[in-house]
Amino acid sequence: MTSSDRSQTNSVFDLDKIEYKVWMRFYEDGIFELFLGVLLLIMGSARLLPEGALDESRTPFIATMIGFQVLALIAFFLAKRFITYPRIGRVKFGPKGKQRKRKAAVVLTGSALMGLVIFLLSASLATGRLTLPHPDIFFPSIWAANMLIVFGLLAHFTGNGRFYLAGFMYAIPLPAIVAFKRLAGFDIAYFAFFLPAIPLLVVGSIVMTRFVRTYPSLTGNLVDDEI
Amino acid sequence: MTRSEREAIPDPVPSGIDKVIHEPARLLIMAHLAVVDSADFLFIMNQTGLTFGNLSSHMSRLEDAGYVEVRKKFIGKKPNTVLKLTSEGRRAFDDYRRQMKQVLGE
Repeated sequence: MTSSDRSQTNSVFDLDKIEYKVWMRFYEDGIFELFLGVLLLIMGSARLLPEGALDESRTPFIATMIGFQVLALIAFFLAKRFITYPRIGRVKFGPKGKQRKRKAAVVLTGSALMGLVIFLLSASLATGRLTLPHPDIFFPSIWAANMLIVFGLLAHFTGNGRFYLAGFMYAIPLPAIVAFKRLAGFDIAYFAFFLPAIPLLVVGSIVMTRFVRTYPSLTGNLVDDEI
Repeated sequence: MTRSEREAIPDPVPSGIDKVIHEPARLLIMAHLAVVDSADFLFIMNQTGLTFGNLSSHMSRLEDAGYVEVRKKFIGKKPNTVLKLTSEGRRAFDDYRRQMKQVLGE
């Protein structure tokens, strides 16, 4: 047996490597990056509202934002359904994959709870039940730390390094708005969310284009009852 | 080469090694099915790089050996073939790996 034969045989026995390859196949479509980029755009669109529009009632605004995010989520699942699965097929992950999914779910739940705490804190501040020395610095700092931790943990648990990029892009906007206002005296709120969305959308588009070229949709080319 | 000369040549596959799994394409299929719960035909085809016909014939062989369970279902109006290692297949693959590691001296 030659050394190349041996390394090929060993690679077949390295089930961890195969399992990781299988797991990562589902990040090759770029849909996650596009989804995260679109979410940033939705957050940024709130800043385009005329000043004072949010003062009277926040309920319609919050409902609209949630509505857009739900639409983005539906688009995410439709893209998986109509772009990813017809090209690479479907798989139910084994114990390791399920464990990664569970860890990611725990991280996202933790992040959602953190968001809830921040929301309650800001509500308490608004009603005057709570006072903070520098709320304009406190909340952006918490936001940035939360994003870096959440996406860092997601990148670590899922093995997808592009989540680090997403974490950085999500952490930037709020601190940047405060920093520019305090240091330079001008408001960048209008594009603070849009600019970080661009790298995510560009990366997502490139990855998706490569994915679509690499994996043509096979379901139409094969006899239906054979797939 | 005479018949006696041919018989004198040792079998390239060591005794006790499962020849159904030992074939490279089937080994690749088994390895991929071993790390997932189940996968559809298209997924295994993409992962292994086998052609449709090739994968189909190897799957039949593995199914006949009782190593792989093949289930046909519908997703919407489209048929979908799901492949899964049976417990016997999983055990056979583990045995095969253990034996090959011994052969390779690992």
